[in-house]
Amino acid sequence: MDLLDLINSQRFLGSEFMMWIWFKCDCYDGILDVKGHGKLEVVFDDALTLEAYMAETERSDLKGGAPAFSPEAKTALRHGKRVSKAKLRIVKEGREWLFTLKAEDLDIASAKIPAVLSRDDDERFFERMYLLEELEEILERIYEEFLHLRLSSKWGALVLPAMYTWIGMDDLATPEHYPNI
Amino acid sequence: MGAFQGNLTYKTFFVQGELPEDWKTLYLNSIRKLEFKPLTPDAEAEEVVGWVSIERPLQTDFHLNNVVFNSFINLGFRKDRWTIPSDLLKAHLEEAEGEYKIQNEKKHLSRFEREDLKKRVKKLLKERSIPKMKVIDMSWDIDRKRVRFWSQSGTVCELFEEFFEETFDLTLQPASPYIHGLQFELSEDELESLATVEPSNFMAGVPSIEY
Repeated sequence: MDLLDLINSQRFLGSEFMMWIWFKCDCYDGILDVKGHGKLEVVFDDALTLEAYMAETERSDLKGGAPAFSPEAKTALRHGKRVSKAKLRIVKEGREWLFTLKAEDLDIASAKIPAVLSRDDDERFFERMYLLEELEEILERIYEEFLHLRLSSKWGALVLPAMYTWIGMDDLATPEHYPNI
Repeated sequence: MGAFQGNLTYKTFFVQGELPEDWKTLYLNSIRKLEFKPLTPDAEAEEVVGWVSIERPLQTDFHLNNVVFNSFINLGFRKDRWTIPSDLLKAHLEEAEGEYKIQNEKKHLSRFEREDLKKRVKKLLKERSIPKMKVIDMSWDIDRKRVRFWSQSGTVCELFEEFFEETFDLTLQPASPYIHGLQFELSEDELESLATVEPSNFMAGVPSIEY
C-alpha cells in the first residue's frame, strides 16, 4: 500500500481518537493528566458533529450548550455515528485555548489562543507561534497516549468494552467507568 | 493572513528531507526565482501563483530580513486569477460576433473564428478589470520540520504543496492521523499495526434501539 492509501485508509483513527477523548473526559470530569504538561482541563465545548461511518451524508450537527452531554449526542453514537469534528477547550495554568479539531486530518481551525501581550509585529508572531506550538504539543501527547493504547491488545480487551458501556449509558460516567490500564 | 494576526485556521504539513548547509542563501534564491509575477491581459494563463512578502503582499523584494524570522521561513503564497463573469463574457461575445458577421458579410462563424473572437473579447475585458487576488500565509518552522499554511481548502493546499516542493526541493506530507502517528517513537509492532489496524466496532456492545 502506498503512503497516500495509508493516509486515507487510516483516517478513521482521528474519529476514534476524538471519541476516546470524549469518553475519558466524561469519566474524569474533563481533567486529563497529559504527559509533560500535568493535569489539564479538556472540555468538549459548544459544537459537536457526528457522522455515520461510510455514509457522510448522515450527520448530526449539535450546537449550543454542552452537546457532548446531551441525549442527542449519545443517541447519535448508538446509531453508529462517529465524531467528525468538535470544538474543544483546553485550560493549562489558567491559560485557555479554544479551537475546532477535525477528525479526518487532526487539523486545528478557528483557534483562540491565550492573550498575546507583545505589540511589536515580530514579537507578536513569535508569541502566536509559541502558543500554537504549545497547543499542538498538548494534542500530540494526548494522541500519542491514545495511539499506544489503540495499537495494543488493551484496546480490544479493556477500552472498547468500557466504551460500549459508556455509549449505552444515560448517566454521566465516573472514573470507575474508565478501565484500569 | 493568519501568522501575524487574525484567524488561526491552518493546515499542518510535515517536511521530509534535510536542509542544505547554506539553506538561507539557497532558499532565498529559489524564492526569488518563483516570486509572484502579475497576470497580464495578453498572457494565456488564467491563474498564476508565486511567493510574496508575508507582511506586504504587493512586495516581492526578498531578503533575509523579510523571509527568515529566527528559525521560521515566512512567506505569502499569492494566487491571482481572472474572474470574468460568464454572463458578461457571453453578452460581449454575442455583440462581437454580430459585428464580425456584418463586417465580413457572414451568416455563420467557423469554430476557429468563434474561438479567436472569444480570446479577443476576453483580453478586452481583462484590460478593463483586475484579477482576483488571494494571499495565504505560510510559516515554516525549520527546527520542528513543520509548515503551517493558513488555508484548509483541498485544492489550494494541493497547489501550495506542489509549489513548495518545486521551490525548496523537499517533500511535504499533509497532517493526518497516520502521518501524526509516524512522528512518535513507535515500536516495529506498533508501526505495523498503525498501517494495518481496522476501524473499531463501537456498536457491538450497544443494545439495539427500539422505536
